[in-house]
Amino acid sequence: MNIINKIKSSLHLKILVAFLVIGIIPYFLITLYFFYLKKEDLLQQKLQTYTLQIKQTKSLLQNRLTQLQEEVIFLSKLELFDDMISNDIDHRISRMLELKSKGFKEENITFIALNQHHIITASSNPTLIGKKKFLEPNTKIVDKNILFSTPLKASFDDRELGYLIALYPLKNLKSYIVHAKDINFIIKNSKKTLISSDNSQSKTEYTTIKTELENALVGYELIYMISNEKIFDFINRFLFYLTLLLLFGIGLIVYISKKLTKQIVTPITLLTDTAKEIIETNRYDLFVKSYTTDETNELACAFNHLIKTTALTLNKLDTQSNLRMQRFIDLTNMFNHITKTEDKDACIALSIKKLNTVIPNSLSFSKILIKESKNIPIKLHDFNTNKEKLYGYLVIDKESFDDKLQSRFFDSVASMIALQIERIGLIAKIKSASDAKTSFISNMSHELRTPLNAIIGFSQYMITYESLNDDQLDTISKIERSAMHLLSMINNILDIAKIEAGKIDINYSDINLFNLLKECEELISPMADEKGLKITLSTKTTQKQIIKTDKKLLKQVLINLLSNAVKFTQTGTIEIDLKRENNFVIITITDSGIGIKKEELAKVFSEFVQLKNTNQTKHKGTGLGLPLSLNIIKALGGKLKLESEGKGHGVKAILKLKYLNSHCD
Amino acid sequence: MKNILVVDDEIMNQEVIKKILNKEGYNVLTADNGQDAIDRLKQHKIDLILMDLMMPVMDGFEAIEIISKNHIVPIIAITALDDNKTHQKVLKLGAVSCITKPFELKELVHSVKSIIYTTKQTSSIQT
Repeated sequence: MNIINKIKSSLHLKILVAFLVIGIIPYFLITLYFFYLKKEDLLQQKLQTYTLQIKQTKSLLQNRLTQLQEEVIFLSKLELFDDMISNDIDHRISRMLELKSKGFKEENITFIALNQHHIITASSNPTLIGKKKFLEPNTKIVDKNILFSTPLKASFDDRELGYLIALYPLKNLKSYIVHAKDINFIIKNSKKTLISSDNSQSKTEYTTIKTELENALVGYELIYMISNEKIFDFINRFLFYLTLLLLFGIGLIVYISKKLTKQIVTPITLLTDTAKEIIETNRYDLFVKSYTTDETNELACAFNHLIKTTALTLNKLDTQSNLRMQRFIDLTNMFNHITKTEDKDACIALSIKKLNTVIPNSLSFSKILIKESKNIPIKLHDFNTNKEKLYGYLVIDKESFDDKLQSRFFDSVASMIALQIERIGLIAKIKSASDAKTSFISNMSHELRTPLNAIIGFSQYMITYESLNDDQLDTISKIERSAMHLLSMINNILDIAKIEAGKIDINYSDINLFNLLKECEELISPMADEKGLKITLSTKTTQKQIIKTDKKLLKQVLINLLSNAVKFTQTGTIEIDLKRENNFVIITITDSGIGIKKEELAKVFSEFVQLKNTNQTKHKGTGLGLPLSLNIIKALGGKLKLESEGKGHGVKAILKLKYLNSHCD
Repeated sequence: MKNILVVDDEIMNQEVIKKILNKEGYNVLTADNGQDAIDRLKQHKIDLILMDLMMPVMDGFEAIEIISKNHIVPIIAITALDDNKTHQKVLKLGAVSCITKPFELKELVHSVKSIIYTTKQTSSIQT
C-alpha cells in the first residue's frame, strides 16, 4: 500500500513504472512464446536433424560392413584356397591375406583362414598361424572385433575346406560417429554395449534417438544421446541475449524516464512553487519562466496570463473598493454635516448640495411628486399620532437611475434626512418646552415673592412692637419664619431653574479659599453654638489657596453644606478641612451626625427628596439644598460628593475644585 | 421730617414699607406707578424714593431714568428680580442702591437711614 501510494503521489515514479511495464511485457511474451509454444517445435526440428544424421551414419556403417562381407565372400571364391586341402600351413595364402589386410590399412582388419580342424592355416597376422580357433555358430562379435566368416569350398568338388574369417575391430566404428560435445554415441544390444563415445554419462538430461542395425550387427542399436542443453542451446542463448537486452532496456528506460519526467515535472514544480509563493506573499507581479517549447510552455504562458489577469482584476477591485470607501466617507461626512443643521430647510439644502457632489446625479428636493422622475419619499414619524407623515421627495433623473442597489441607497439617504428633520423638530420642541418651563418658574417665583414681601415685612414690623405679650410674639415669629422658609424654597427653585436653563450668572474672581471658609464658619457658628456643636477649621497646606471662582455661588454651596452638617448632627464636631491634591483643592466637611444609608447616598442629590428620617419635623428644609449645590458646583467646573459609612456614622461632604483656575487667565 | 416716596403697584407693599418707615419717623408718600411718581415729585419735596421695577403704565426702569435726569433725589430700587443684570442696569440708570424683595426689615431700615444720612451730609457741605 505504501509503495502504491508513493507511486500515486509521484509523477516521476508513475512514468517510470509505465515505461517499465511497456518494456518488460514484450520480454515476457517472447519468453513465454519460446518456452511454451516453440519449445516442442524446436525440439522436433533439432531431433529431425539428428535423426537424419543417425540414418546417414547407419547407412555408412552398414555399407562398410556389407562391403566387408562381400569382400570376404569374394576372397573365399579364390582358387588359391584349394591349397588348404592339405591342412598345412600355407604361406601363400597368408601372404595374400597379409596384402589384403594392408589394402584396408588403417582399419586394421585381420584375415584368418581356418581349416576343417579349426586350426589357423593362414592369417594376415603371422602370430596367429598354427593356433586353434573355434567358431561359435551365429557369433558375430569376438574380442572387440566384428567377425565376418564365410565357408571355403574347393573349386573342384565343393568340398568344405574350412572358413575364411575377417576380424573387423570395433573401434573402427568410432570413425563414423559424429564427434560433438554433448552427444553420446552408443552401439549396444540389450546385454552389451559395443562401443560408446568417451563423454561422461553422468551429465544432465539426454534425449535419445535410436535406430536398429542390420546384417553383421543385427540385434544392436545405434543410439544418439543428445544433451538437452545442446538442444535448447539456441533458446537459452537467445533468452540470455534477450535478458541482456532487457537489462540494457531497463537502464535506458530509467534514464529516459528520468530525463523525460524532469522535463515534465520541472516546469510543473516551478509552477507549483510560484503559485505557492503567490498565495503566501500575495505578490501578483510574479511569473513563471519557461525554457521549453512544448505543452508545459503553454501551461506556463497560460498560468502567467492568469496571474496577470488576476492582478489586473485585483487592482480593479481595489480601485473600486477605494472608490466605494471614498464614497462611503463622503456620505458619512455628509451625514455629519447634516446632523449639525438646526433648520429643516437648511438640512434639505445641505443634503442636496452634498449629495450632488458625491453622486453626480441631478438631485433635487420637491414637496410634490414630479412626473417622469424617480421620487423618493422622505417620511417623518409623527410622535403624537404615531403615524408616518410625508415631508417631500428626493427627485432624481430617471435616466441616471435604474439600479436596485441605488434605489436602496437613496432610500437610506432619505430616511437619514428624515431622521435629522425629525431631530430638528424634536429639539425645537424640547427647547421651547424648556424655555416655557423656565419662564413659567421665574414668573411664578416673582409673583410669589411679592405677597411674601408683605407677609415678611408686616410680621417683622409687628415684632418690633414692644407691647406684644410672649404668645403674640411667638405667633408672629412663627409666621415670619414660615414666610422665610417659603422664600428660601422659592429662591432655590428659581436658582435650579436658572442653572438648568443655563441662565446662571457666574462672576469669576480670585478667592482666598481659607478666608471664605472662615467667613462661612463664622456665619454658621451661632447655629452650631445653639446645639452645642464645635466647628473646627484646619488646613494641611501652608500655601495661600487662591482660586478663580464665583464667590457668591461657592459661598452659597458651603453654607448649604455646613448648615446641613449642623442640622443633622446632635452632638460632636464638624470638621472643615482644606488640602491640595495635584491640580485640585479639596474641601471636606465631616460631621458626626446621623449619617446616610449607603444605598440612599445617590438619592440625596435628587430634587425634593429629603430622606425619611426618624423624626421628620426635626429636619426642616426644602430638600433642594443639595441638588442646587451639586448644580452650582457643576456649573463652576467642580465635583461634589457625599460619603457615609452608614447610618449613625456621620457624613463626609467632599468638594473638589480645579486649582489651576487662578492661573488660567 | 423727611419725605419718602414709595412707588409700588401693590398696595400691600406700599403699606408695609409705610408702616415700617413711619415707625422710624419718616413721612411716607405713595405712588402706584412711575408716571404717578413723577407727578408726585412735582407736588412734593421728596428726600428719597423707594422704587419698585415691575409696574404698569410706566415701569421702574423708565421712571428711574427720567427722575435721575431731571431731579436731584436718591432712588433705592426695590425689586423681586433677583439677578445681577437687573441690579447693574438699575444702578447704571441712576439708582443709588438696590434691595431685593422680599427684604428684611433691618436691611430696609439700614439702607434708608444711611442714604438719608449721606444726603444730609452732602447737602450741609454744599450749603
